[in-house]
Amino acid sequence: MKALAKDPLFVVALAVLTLHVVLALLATHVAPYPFDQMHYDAAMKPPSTTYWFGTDRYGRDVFSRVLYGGQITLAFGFGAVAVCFLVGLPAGLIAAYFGGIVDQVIMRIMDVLMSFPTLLLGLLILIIAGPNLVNLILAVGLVYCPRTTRVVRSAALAVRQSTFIEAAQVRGERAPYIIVRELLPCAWGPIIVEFCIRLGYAILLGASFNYLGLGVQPPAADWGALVQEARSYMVRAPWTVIFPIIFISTLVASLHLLGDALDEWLKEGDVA
Amino acid sequence: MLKFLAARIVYTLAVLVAVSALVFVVTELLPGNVATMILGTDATAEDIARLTRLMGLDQPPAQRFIHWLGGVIQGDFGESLRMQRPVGPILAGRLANSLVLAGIAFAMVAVGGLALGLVTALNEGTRLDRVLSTLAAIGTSLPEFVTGTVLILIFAGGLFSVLPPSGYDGFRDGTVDALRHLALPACALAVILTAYVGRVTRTSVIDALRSDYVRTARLKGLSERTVVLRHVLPNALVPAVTVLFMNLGWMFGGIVVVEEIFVFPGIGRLMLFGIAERDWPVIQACAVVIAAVYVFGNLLGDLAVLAINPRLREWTA
Repeated sequence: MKALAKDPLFVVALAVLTLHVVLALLATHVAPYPFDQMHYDAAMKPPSTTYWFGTDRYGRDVFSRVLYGGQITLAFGFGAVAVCFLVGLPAGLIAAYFGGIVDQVIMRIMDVLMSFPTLLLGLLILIIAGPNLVNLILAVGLVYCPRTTRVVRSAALAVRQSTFIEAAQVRGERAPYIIVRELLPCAWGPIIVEFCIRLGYAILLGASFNYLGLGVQPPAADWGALVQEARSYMVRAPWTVIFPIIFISTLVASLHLLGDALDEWLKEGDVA
Repeated sequence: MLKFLAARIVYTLAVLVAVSALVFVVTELLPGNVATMILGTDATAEDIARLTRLMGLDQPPAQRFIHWLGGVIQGDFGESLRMQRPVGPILAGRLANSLVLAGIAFAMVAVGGLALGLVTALNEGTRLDRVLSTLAAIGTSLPEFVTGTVLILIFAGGLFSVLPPSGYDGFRDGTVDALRHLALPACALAVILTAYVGRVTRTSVIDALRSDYVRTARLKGLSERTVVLRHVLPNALVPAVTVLFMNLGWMFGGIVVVEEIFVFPGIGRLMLFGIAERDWPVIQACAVVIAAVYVFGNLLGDLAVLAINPRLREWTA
């Protein structure tokens, strides 16, 4: 942990991520206006002391909308990753532990899911299910669960052949016990890295669906939808898109940098 | 080798049929009776029944799927509900535009990504490496709608007005005009992958630089240039090219967003049109074609890796 705390990228990334989470959690207290309150006399105003990030076409406060957008973004990000792990964690562990035909069946199902381009599969799911926050979470989660399954499986495979697993089997422990108490604790490292990276990608994909209008519906808007809303007048009022862009980029970049730093730290630990 | 090729092609075709079936099932589940959609809500029950029979919608789904798949193989995607025209010809034109866009972006990724990886790896640990590597890490965090919007703000109306933000219309007005319209969308499409390929290349070049055969080459007294060109590059390129081609199909997914931003007349926007209009033959056709490009892109990737890595050829033969 010492080496990690000295890595400036890791510290900055962790700080940025924390800031995002805190801002989203406190959005209702921090935001100066409700996210959908219109001020017709102050439409498309540049940033000022009254409206920190300026206002959009309907005179809605961009700062407030970005803060509430953060709530939605983090909600579908964490929600989708939860779906990924609900499917991928048991599937990956079971595939690695039992191997053989079980492994084959699980991984071939994942292969079929992966043979779609991510965006297309998500689009198809959202077309049938209809555009809303819950379906967005399910769509992004389902699209990415094969990747999580693969990571979990290969992390578990790396410890599968260890003597302590064999010892547990000889001891007469049952499979669920071995998987949860012996296999899982040794595979945590790659799983945590996967969590960070996957959260970043889930936010990217979800925001892209919102940008295409297939996720949360107006007047609610995440950062993707905010950029979409302002498309027709963004050259005249660039603040309407710049702030959502800064927020999504810093959040996802912090997650990726965090994942990278953790990954490197874990690998160094292996060598030592 | 041939056996592997044959197996890989059979697998690709099987995936394509599976994907088509899935697309068909999905569009079957679309809410709304098709006949009612065409005739409007105030059509009589008899009219709706007649059109349903006429379009073959009263047949069992399995039979309709086989009929539809048979048409797709011959390039017949049925008729668009909104445009009242066959989908095939519209799709062909749009696909051509998208392939041009994807091709240019792919070339950018190949050149940019490999160069980025090589430069950072050869300067490992220097300030240049740290700056470029951090930029690459941030680059993989930028979705297409962000890069596209930023590019428009910088080059197409915000800071400068040097490139058009939309209005691509093929090569009708000359190559220069077409390329000017392609520049921003291709960049938006290429940024995230360039960063990704750059990172993979950096890792594999660094691994190669630390290998025994490179140490031997250096101890033999070869110049650093020869070592890099003859010993490091051929080995380091394998993972880089693998990732590059594996993402050929992935890029075709991102094209939907990029086409929406730049109002580009490609297959992605055609699909979004189909979704907005609930035009299921259009959705089916676009989804199957995008999936097919993706699957064939992956096949192409496997073949490319096979071609540059002799070791794999022996294993799989």
